[in-house]
Amino acid sequence: MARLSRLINQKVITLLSLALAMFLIATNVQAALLYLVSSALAALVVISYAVALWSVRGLSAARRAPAEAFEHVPLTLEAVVHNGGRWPRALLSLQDDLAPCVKPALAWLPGRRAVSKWYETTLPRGIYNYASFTVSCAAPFGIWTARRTFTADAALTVLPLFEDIPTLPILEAMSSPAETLHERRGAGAGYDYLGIRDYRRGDSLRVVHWRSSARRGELVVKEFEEEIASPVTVTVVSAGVAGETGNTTLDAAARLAATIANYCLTSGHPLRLIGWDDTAGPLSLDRPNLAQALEWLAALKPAAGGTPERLAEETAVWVGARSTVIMVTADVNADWRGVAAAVESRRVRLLTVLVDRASFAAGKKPSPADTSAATALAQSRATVYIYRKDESITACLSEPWRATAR
Amino acid sequence: MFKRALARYRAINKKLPSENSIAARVAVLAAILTGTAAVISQGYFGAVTNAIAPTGIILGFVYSWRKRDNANVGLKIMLSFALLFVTFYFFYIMVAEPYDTRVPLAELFLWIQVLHSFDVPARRDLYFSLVAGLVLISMAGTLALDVSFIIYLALFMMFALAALFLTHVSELGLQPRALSRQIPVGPTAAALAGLSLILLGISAIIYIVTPRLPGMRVQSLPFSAERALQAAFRGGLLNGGHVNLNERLPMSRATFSGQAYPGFSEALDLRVRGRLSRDLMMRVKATNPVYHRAQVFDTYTGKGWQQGGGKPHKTAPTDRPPLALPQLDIEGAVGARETIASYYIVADQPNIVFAPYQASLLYFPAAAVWQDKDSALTSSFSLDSGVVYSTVSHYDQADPARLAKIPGIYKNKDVIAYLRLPSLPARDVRLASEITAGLDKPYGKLAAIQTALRQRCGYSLNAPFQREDQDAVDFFLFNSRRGSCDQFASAFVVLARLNGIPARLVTGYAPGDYNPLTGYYEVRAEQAHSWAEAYFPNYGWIAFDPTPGFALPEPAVFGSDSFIMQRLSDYAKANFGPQLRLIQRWLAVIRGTFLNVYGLAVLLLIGALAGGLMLARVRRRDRMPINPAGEAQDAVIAAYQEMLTILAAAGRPRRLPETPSEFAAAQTRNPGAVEIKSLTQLFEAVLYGRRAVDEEQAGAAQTALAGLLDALKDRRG
Repeated sequence: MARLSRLINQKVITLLSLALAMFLIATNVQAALLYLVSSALAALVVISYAVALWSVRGLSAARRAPAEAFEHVPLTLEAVVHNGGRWPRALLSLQDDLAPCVKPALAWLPGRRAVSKWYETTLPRGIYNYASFTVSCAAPFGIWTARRTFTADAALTVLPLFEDIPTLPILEAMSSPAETLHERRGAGAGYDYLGIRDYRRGDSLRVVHWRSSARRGELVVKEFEEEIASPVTVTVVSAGVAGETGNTTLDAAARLAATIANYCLTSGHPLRLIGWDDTAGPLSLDRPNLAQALEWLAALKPAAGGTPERLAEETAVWVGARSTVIMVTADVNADWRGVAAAVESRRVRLLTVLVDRASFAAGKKPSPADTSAATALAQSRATVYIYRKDESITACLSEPWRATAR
Repeated sequence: MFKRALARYRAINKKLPSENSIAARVAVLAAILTGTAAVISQGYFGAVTNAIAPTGIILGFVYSWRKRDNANVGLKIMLSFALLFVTFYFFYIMVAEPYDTRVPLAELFLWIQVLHSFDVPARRDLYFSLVAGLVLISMAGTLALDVSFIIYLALFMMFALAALFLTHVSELGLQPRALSRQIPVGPTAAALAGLSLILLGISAIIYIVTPRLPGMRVQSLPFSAERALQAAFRGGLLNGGHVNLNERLPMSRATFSGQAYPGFSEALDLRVRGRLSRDLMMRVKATNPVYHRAQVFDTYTGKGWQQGGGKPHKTAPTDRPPLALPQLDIEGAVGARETIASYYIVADQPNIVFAPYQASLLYFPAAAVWQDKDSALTSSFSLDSGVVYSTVSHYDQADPARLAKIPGIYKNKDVIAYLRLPSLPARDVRLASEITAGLDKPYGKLAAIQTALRQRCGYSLNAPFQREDQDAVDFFLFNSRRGSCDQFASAFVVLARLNGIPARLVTGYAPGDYNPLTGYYEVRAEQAHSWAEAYFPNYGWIAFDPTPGFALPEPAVFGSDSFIMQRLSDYAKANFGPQLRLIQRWLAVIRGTFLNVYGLAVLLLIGALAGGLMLARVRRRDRMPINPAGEAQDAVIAAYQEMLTILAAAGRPRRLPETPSEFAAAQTRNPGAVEIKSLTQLFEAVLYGRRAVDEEQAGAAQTALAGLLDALKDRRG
């Protein structure tokens, strides 16, 4: 019954109503010729139902898709439909749940043959492990639509897009003389002379400081400093998501995080990603390469529990002193002073990228961001950036928000 | 609430994407024009409508196609005003002539279709047009009198199905031109032909099993345009048969006209003989099969029948139909079965208004009619071809069990006239007594007379001529013992009167052949008939039909007879008798040959063998793997892969979205195309075919590969 009700559409109702009307008129005015019209209409409904149902029987279908793709970048999917029956099928329509808007059609599918259909689509960020694949047919008259759904293994990861930014000034060494993010952590293979120490087995004779050795009477070697970039922790807040599917504030946050991660990895900053999943709890990925970081961000889902406060606490657990925390968030309803305090208690620097929710709200034009959060953060000495929908990430990260800029 | 309603209104009226498929538009246009032609061909509209409507529809479709992407606000406003105008005109006509709504309604739908044709930009609008075309076809179906409508219906269905198919193709985003390249013509044509046959078969099954319920509940019944009463007319028959029972007739069949039944006269001469033609006289749409009464005769002269007892009187004139007919035989109005009948005169008739017994309302194209004492109706003008009128009567044939109890006591003096007889030979009187001996109630006597007549005499249209001086009934009963309905009915009335039962003779038409396709009873000249009516106190005049092979029509249409199968069978027998007899003869031969024990055994054996062979074939095919493994298959696949490598190296790589066939098709103009095609076919046979590839075909793959290499070398050289 449920199957039948799914099949019935406006055309079927119209045709059956017309058939009934013809029958009633034929009966009422004894116009026997209208019985012919009524019968023909009823027969049309019956035969359309039978042909549509038969058309999707004996079919098998599979989807072929690449393992990875970037969001909103055209992606080629391949559908292979095999007709196991003897008779050809016509006018099949393929509905791929991976690409809900795309309905490629097969005009003709010969008996005992397989036919491939390629179609381009764009997908939003995410991991698609399983997605059904539906072959439907309303042949030949488009009256009844019979559907057959196949579960196809997709195993497709759609990664967030990122921008290759040339620089992120706030992370550069000289961005603030007082708070340089590059510190001299210890000896290494650099070129700047650090000092001398006692010879250890394995030290090269080239680094022996002969003058001091002669002075001390034992071997002393020169030590050079090594410049170590400060670790960066990117925290993605997954609560308070707004916007249309495929372009939510969380998608934008993922893009921002991916862009920052890419910059950190190319400029040598050790990276850690922190997020939240309502089922699994806190998520953390330490020292990923770019591919790992992108996959981690692709899997990020909206989570009501991933509030700024909770993630600030989690971040405080993981970060070490003198590192930088970059929090990307669209959730502005938070105790920002508390957030800043929680993070800075670890002697780390807090950067916040606020994703402007108002500009992502469906049907609304971009509006000035709710700057109260930015103001609160600025008062807590945090650096704030504001990202608006469809804005260039490079442009957004080029200059921090300032209260006077309003 | 208002906002929601407004949003809903906007959603409904949102401009939909234009339908760009010319093929679909042409199919819809053809379907609508077929519907228009079907309505116009019924002949109810003027020349202006007949010319403008189809032209307007074509122009509208062309205009709509050209402007399909525009908003067309101005046009929509104009169309709305035009629509209001035609609706207003429809109501104006309905108020002026509210009797038969079908024609103005058909005209309204026709003009709506013309106007709608100018605004069909989207696919949904085309669907509306198809529904409008269906409405036109249906209107034609209610107006049609013959089966020529079926040709229009078949054409409409053909175009409508093509339109549905093409709009569905367009809906899927497939281009018809590209489609024709993708879809092979042969299998498609075969599939469509098969589908059409199945559609026809299912339609026939549904048509046959559809119950026919009693209908005609509408009270505005059809009648043709009103005609003025003839001032000089005072009752009587116009153009009736000229019969003078006092004349000496030449005893030959030349005096009999096959077109005119002698009973539609002021007298019925029983001395004439002949066979009436099969010409169609009229079509009758009736809720029940009924006898169509014409004349009633009360005076038997020994040579025939005459009407006696005063001139007919004119009914009260009315300027608005229907005419209310006085119920002169009110005693007969037992029960209340309503019978509605519409008469469509095909061949010219005298001025007799044919009607079922006890017609109470008459929708007639005149202000008055004339009615005699026996309820026979006449008009002041002849009923020429094209005249249409309707009647409503309320009459039930009384229950025989009740009639059988009524004693033969007649207090009504008016019925005495129906007992009079001329001097008859004594043997007739004796026969009347013998037939009813031992019976005392009139109904029993009449039933006995009917049975006796059927046993004693046979039906014949070629009965011998009587002697001039002999009584017609006496000749029939004792000499010829053969005769037509006139002789049987006359003998019945005479024998009834001899038994003291008031009776009279009635002429008219039998119900006619029911045409199950049109729903009309087709009444032919040969179906002119006569029967008898006998009087029963408190019950009035009850019909009896003593003629063998005739029976009073059953009033009900329920029961097994309600299904069309019986009607179809009757119609086929009436119209295709010789052909059916030939088929029956063949079937009899087949039955005689095969329908015995040995024949059945042979048929079963052949059937079992054929079924077994088919089953074995299907199973063998299903068991066969799609890709049977084997060296030959591997060799073909390897050759194909090598071919791809070679072609890629030659700058012709196979792109990912290309199927092997598409790739091969793309190489048609390149060197080695033949070899590529041949190798591709072998490769596809290996991949998808169920038949194993043999060594020879593997060799052919290698040969094709070598040929391709040669072709490429030649090009380089």
